[in-house]
Amino acid sequence: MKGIVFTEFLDLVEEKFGLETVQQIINEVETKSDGVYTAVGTYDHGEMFAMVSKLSEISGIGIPNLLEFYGEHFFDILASSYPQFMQKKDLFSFLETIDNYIHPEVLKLYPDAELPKFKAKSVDSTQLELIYQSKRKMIDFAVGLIKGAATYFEEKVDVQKSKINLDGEEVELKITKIG
Amino acid sequence: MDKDQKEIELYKQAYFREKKARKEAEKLLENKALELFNTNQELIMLNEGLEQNLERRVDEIKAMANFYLQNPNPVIRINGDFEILFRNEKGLSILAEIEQNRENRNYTFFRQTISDCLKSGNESTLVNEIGGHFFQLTFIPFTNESFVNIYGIDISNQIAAERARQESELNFRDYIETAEDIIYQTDLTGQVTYVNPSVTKITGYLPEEFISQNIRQFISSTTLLKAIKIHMDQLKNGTGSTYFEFEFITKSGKKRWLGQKAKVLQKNGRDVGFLVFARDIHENKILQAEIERSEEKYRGILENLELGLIEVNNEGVMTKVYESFCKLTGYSEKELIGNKPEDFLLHPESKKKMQEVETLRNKGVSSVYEVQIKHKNGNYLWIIISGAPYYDQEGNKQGTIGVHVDITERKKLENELNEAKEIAQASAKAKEMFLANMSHEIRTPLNAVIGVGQLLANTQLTSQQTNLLDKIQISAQSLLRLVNDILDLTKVEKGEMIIENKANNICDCINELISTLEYSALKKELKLFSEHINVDRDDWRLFDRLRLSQVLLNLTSNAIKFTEKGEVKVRFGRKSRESNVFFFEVTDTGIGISKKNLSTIFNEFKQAEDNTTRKYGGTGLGLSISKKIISLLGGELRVESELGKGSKFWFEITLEQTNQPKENLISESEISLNDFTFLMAEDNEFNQFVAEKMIEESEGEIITFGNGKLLIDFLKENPDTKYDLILMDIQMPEMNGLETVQYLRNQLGIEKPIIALTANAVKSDIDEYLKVGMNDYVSKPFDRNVFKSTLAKYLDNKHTPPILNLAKLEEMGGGDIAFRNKMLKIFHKEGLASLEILRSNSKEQLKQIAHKIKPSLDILGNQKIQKLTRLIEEGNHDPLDEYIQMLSQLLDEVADKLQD
Repeated sequence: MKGIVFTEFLDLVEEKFGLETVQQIINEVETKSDGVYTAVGTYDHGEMFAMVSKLSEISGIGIPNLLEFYGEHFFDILASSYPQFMQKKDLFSFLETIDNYIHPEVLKLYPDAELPKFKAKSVDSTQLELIYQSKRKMIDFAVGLIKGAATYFEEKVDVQKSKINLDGEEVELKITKIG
Repeated sequence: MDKDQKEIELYKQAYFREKKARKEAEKLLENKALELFNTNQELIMLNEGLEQNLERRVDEIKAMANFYLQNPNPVIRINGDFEILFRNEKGLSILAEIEQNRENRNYTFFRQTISDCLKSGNESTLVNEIGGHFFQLTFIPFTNESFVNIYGIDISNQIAAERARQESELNFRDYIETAEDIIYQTDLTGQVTYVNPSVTKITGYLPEEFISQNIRQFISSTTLLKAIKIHMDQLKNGTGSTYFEFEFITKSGKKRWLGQKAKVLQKNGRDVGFLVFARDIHENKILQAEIERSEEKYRGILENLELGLIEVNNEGVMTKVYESFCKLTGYSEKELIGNKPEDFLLHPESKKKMQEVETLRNKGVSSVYEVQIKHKNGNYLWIIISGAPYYDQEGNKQGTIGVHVDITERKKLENELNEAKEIAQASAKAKEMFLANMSHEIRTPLNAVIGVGQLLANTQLTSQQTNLLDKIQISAQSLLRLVNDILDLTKVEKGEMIIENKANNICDCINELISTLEYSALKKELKLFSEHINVDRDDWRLFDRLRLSQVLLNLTSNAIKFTEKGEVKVRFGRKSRESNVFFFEVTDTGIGISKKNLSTIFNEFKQAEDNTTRKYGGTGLGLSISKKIISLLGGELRVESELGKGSKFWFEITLEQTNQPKENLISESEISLNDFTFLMAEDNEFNQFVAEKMIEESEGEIITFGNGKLLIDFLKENPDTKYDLILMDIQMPEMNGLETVQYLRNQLGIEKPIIALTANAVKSDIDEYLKVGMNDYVSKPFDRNVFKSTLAKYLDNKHTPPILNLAKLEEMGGGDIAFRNKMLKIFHKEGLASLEILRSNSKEQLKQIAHKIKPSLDILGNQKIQKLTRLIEEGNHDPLDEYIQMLSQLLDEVADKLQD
């Protein structure tokens, strides 16, 4: 997993729960990297899950919520860091470009990156079906990212997990514009 | 631990984490940078390789493209939407051709094939005619790329060759099928395997009736064995081709001659049968038999004729002698064969002739010639030989066949006839010469008779003497005419008649004719008059007045002679004023000429009827001469006549227009030789006498010398002698005329005019006279008019001619004084009356008077008074006073004459 996901996560924990919580997580979670992350590095995604689990344990907030929240936050980081991918004017057309354009471009920069697949299928102008596929089973993080994107495009959407297969490795999402 | 310390501890830990992370990141970035550098290096290298590769590829592609572009055959790549992806030059021209002719099925085929290929994925080949060429197009589809490669080959030549081959095969079959000859094949046994349709036309059998049959059954028994033998031998001896004639039994059972050429057919080196060309030679065969029969027949005839036949080879040796030739020569066949005829048969003189003939005959010329041969008994015979070369079939001369006919008898007769003919011809010629000479000899004394007669008429005679003299003159004149006619005829026949074209007035010529014959017509109470059409009074033309007048005089006097009642009309003129062709017609109401005689009247010594001469006189030469003269003048004298109704003689001649000559024609009546002196060299006393008299009559002086020498001597001794002209005879003793003139001109330098006096006025002579320096000539016997006017032409005439001129009247009267006086009296009376009217100044009557008196003045008056009369007649009154004076003077002179 890209280092930026770790660094941004710890920055967010620091901001929301304080440095002490950060230290506690690092101390209590056995990680190979001992909490030292750089945005340009690549780290085992298990360390991320361990840290999110520890934060859930410390804060009493559920892991899905934490991941969704972090996803929402993380989109802002991505959008400001990679404005070249933000050419589209609305959410649905943006989502349709992920698999076709954004992820192939990311792979050029980071050939070792392991990226999920998003197969988009528009139903009508207000509804989009999106199939998420990833061995990481990080659908909640993805939902957060989608919500973050909706906020970025100043749209209000409802995201429903209509079907979860293979223990979360493939999830069908129904995204509906509201209002 | 207090809160702050705890916080510091936390930050410391965070700080170390961050420091560690930074170092880690720096290491990562450094690796990344190194990686980037390496990658960049690799990229640079790779790029270089790529560029080289690219260049090489481009070159390869270019070469490949050129390979296709320069392909003379079309190469095309086209996709499923018929878009051209590639094409070379030839491909483009083909595509353009297909595109341009969309209505052509090529367009549809082409597209269809592309679509089909792409659909099926299979190759396809088409042959199309595109732009006059045949192309074989191979379509190779590339379904993945959705295009088709099309490769074409121009196969026009192959197709043309194929077509030619097919055509020639067709033609060849056609030749066989339509051949006139029967063409058939058999196997070795004679079984027919093929026959062309001609068999039906010639034999009546259909091909299917003929095929599978054995040819032997069609050959007549008379020729069958021979046929079998020939063809067996042919196979045995390996003869390629044989020719054989046989009788074919046709379907109708008749026999027909065929001539066939048979060739052995081989297959794989073994004889398998015959190919035969059989021709219908039936007609030829029959004809040949006919010829042989006919030859046989003629041989028989020749044998029986009395024609000596022999055959001689190229060496001249007799190879065959027929019985008839033996009979002719008296030798036996044995004695003749193997010998040359010239060795013992030919007359020595004939040998040379024989050799000439031989040379000709070697060139293939047949000839007939006469030779003398010696009979065994020693007598010579005249033989006519007709020899012709004969040839073998290749056209080589084998020798000569000679036919000999005994013409000894004929030759004898011929010689006799030739001699007789020569004698007759010589005698005719002698007669002719005699006649001409006689005429010539007669003319001189005749001239004397006439001349003396004229002089005698001018003396005082009793009326009885006048009458007798008159008769002498008439007879002499007619004799002279005859002599002149004969001489004229001789001249014309010898081509010595001279035509002298000079400026003359046609109307004058006709008027003169009319006035000459007026009296003759008057005596017979005939109306004689002339009519002119499209001719002006002053129309001057180039012609020989003497000859034209001679003809017209002859025609008109004939007309008068043969007319008892009615009129004689002389009509002349031209069809239009633009034409130069003049017609002259003399029409009478006389006895006419029968159809039978019309064709011969122009012959010499011929008159219409044999008794014409008895009744009317005349020599019968006039028309003949006239016809010849007109022919010399470029015309043809023709006649139309009906017995009892009269005749019309006419001709047409071309007369070129000319100007009136400046010198006035001097008429004899006005000529005065007063004060002129003439020298004359003339040996004939009579001619001397006539010439002297004529000159003295006109008051001239003349000194006469007996020959040229005397004249020259006189002039040498008296160089200061005053004289005006020399008259020169031609034939003289001592020194003739030509020699004399040459001497006078060259030695003495005399420039005075010299006039020849000649009896032979033929052109070649005249030319010679003029050449040696003579100015003119006068023919003997002297015609008073011609004599005087010729002289006058060379004299400086300054004398006024007399007004009264009696010559014409006297001529009309033929010397009849009583007639003359009678006419003068009539004229005198009329003249006085006219004069009175003229003097009365009654102008309205002037024209009438002048018109009335004009004919009389044309006879009696001089030219001046005639001219004045015409002016008055035309309404010009200016010369009236002069006219009255002249007329009055004329009447006085007439009165004087009457008193005499």
